[in-house]
Amino acid sequence: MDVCLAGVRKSYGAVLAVRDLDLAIARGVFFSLLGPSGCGKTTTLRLIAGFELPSAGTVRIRGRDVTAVPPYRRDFSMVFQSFALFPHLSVADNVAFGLRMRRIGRAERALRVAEALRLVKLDGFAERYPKQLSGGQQQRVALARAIIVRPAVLLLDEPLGALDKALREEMQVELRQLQRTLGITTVFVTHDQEEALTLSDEVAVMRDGVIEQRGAPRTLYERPATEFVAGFLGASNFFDASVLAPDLVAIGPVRLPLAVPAPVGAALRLAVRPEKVRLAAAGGDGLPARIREIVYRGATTQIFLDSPCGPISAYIQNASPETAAWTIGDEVACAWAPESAVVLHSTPSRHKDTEQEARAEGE
Amino acid sequence: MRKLAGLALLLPPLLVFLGFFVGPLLYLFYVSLHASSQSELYGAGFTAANYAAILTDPFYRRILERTLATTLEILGLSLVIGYAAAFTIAGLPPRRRLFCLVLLLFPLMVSNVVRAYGWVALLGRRGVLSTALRDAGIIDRPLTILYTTDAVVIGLLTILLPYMIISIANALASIDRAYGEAAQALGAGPVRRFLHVTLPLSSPGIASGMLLVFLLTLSAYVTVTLLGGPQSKMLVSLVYDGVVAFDWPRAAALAFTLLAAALLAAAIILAALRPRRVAGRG
Amino acid sequence: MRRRDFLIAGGTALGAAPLAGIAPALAQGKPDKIVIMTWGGLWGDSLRQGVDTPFEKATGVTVLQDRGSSPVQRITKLKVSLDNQGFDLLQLHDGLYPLAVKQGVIEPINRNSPRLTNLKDVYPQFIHPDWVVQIFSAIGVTYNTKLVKNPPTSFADLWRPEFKGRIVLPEISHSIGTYIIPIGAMAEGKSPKDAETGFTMLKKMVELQPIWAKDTDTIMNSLRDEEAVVALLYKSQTYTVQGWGTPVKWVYPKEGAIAISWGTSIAKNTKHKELAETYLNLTLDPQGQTFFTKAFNYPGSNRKELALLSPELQERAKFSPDELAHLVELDHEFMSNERAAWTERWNRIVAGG
Repeated sequence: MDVCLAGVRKSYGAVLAVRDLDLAIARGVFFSLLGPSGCGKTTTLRLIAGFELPSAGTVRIRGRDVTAVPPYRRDFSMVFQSFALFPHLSVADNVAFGLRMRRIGRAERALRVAEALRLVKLDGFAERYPKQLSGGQQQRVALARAIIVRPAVLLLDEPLGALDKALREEMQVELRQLQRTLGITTVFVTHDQEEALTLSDEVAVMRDGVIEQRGAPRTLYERPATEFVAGFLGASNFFDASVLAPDLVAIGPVRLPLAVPAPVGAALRLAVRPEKVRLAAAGGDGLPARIREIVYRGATTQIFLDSPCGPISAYIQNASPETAAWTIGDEVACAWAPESAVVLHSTPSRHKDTEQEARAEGE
Repeated sequence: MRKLAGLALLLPPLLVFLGFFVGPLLYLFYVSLHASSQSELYGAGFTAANYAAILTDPFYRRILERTLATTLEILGLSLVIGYAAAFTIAGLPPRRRLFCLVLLLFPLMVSNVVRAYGWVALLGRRGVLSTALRDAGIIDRPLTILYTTDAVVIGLLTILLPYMIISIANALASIDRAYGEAAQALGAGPVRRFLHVTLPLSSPGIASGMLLVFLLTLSAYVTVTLLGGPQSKMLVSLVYDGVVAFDWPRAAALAFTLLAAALLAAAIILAALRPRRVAGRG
Repeated sequence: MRRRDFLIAGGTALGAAPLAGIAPALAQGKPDKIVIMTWGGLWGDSLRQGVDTPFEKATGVTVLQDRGSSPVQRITKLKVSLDNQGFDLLQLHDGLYPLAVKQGVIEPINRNSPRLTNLKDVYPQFIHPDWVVQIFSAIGVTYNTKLVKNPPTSFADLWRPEFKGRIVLPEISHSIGTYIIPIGAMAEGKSPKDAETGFTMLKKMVELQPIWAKDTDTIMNSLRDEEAVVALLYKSQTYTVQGWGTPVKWVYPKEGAIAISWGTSIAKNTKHKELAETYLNLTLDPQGQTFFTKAFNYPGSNRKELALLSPELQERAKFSPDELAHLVELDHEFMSNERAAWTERWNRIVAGG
């Protein structure tokens, strides 16, 4: 494990920013901390860096206990949201800064700077100054500066937030390629769930200082553990259901099969992704609902319905033959494959690592 | 159209500046190129004799040396003391920082003359400091600081340190914390963080502080005269003496020498520190 | 078309109005004020009480005192306003009047003017072609009776080694700053115009590390604070220091005390010559001069003034006939011509060391 946080807690006065955090990140993994503002993801990153000291718990990097070690003696690099390129130094001097601090000689510095700039596709920019660069170029310089020192861990604090959409997507791809090439353990903080899902090997969704769920992007998306995770990653339909028989639940007036057996009489909270919802003519199997709104989105059509159990949304691929038939006001029946309904849990702590659970289920 | 409106807005203050500042300055330069006269403000006929005298006469050279030496001494002291104080103040919580800065401004709220006389009372042979030190047995002869360049340095430092401290403290406070953290992330400990990041990024504050101290020292007549006495006369004192003796051309020439020295110093400071390169951070 | 006519008519009317106002004023000729350039503080206040008030009562014209200019600045201001003189009267001390005359900023005194009635009672040596003395004093040696065991009796005594570091003298830019040169010459028994001896003596004085005072207040304060025990000071100011509780005494030096006087003159191209003469006359009024004696212990230039004073003040103010006879009148024209050169030379000896 390259990064290990055990029992970490961080409080500012009466406010608990991070509580009882246990985190282990393996070598070479691109790990994202995802969550809304104030969830503690940036604080966690800064705890790994050493810019914040934990109120309790330990931090280890490559097995070494660095809880009491100041940042400049920890083996990591960081790319800041504002890039923090030293304005009084040229691009080359910026990138070489870390090497200078490690007392690497001038000749070797020059070589490695050239190599780093080539990696981030900024050959020829060595003598420019930060204020002459565009946002994207500054980003790459910040990246070059961070990776040139070959750190054990690379920390990124919402580094793409300042870029426009097109540039951001381009940088996402480049960043991922770079990370794979170099194989550096990376911790990436973002509030953009799409970004996290795109880039990461593993994602941890945080809320109120705690990790609600952690796992591979696909797992988190297909098998959210809690309502919060389900709602944060993409859209979801939520239903209250009661168990009638081990394989049968009642959602409102309708009975639907259940994929995983559950104790009879239990009250469940189910989540169904809109793209898993299929519409059939009224009277068929499934929840009766009426179409409220139809939104055409190029590749998909989004259909919003009202049902006795609450609103439902369904996303349908326009390639499939279903869409053309529906209009607003139609009465339909909504159904889904039993495996598509995910049972949500209320307390996050018991189900942080659904990755293990999914494997156990034989998914 | 907007450009025209902007120019029109600029015109009145520009005219005032040209008419009441540049104009008289040019006239004064014109006066400096004449000989002295008892019956007129200046005599007839152009001559560069005044400037020649200032540049060649060993007496003027001595005064120039003394002026520059004292100014450099004050500059050095205010830089060292000022940066240390500013660094400490910038690290304080906002309310205490404000309190310290206001405290620093107190000496400036008193008139120059009153403050100088206060120093005379403190530093004189039978002044407060002398009496206190003698009573404590630290010295046995009366203090002879007054009427020397040392007294001038002390007196001017109290006025000028606040300028230096406030300039640097402001510059330090406006340095984004991220720079320091970035440096730390790259392996820079506290000392190297200061040398490679904090110090260079505070260079605008250092530059403006140095300029203020230098220019104010060159023109500080009251303190130099009251605390230094005639043995410590500086260039500015000679300008005053020239005016009182009704020798306008000589006084004007001395004044322009002072101005030239100030402009030269400003150019050197700005070239050495290059504060512009730090602009546009964020 | 109609609007334009209206504007033209209105503009003409507006333009004419102030002109219409001026004409009667010019015809009248009487201003609402006259301006005198003088010192502020106690002097200005005494002037206000002793001269301005009776003047305003007699003529109905107010007096505006310009207290903001140093003596040399007064000459400069008058010089640059010659084409449109805004000032009417000027007060200076004797040492500076030659410069004012040379620069051509004052009018000669018309001795036969019907308005200058007090002239006949003024001591003749105090009436100059271009100005008249209002009050006078003498420069001598002031010493601290408690701290100086062997009282000085002459200017030469200032050079005693025992006074090293304890003498206070006026600096060269002081109004009497140049006097140290003739004093040095006189101390050696030479003529006050012997500048060479004067400067040699100055060099000797510098070795005694005197305190050089920028103004008279500094001289007086140095005596009070006991920074200095001996000084070059006017007789009248010595009484002031005494009044502060310092035991000082003024000595009439063997070589002769140096006369110093302050007086009034009329600004060149003044617009109110008659009123200025009336004012000048009031500065010579014995009753008005008593205010200055009370404030400064200066005797007035009008011989009738002494009788109006209390016996105690008379004692302080007056000079004995013998003293008066031996008062040294410096050649102020000579010294004024030398001022710039002497300032340079003084600076080289004292400041260039």
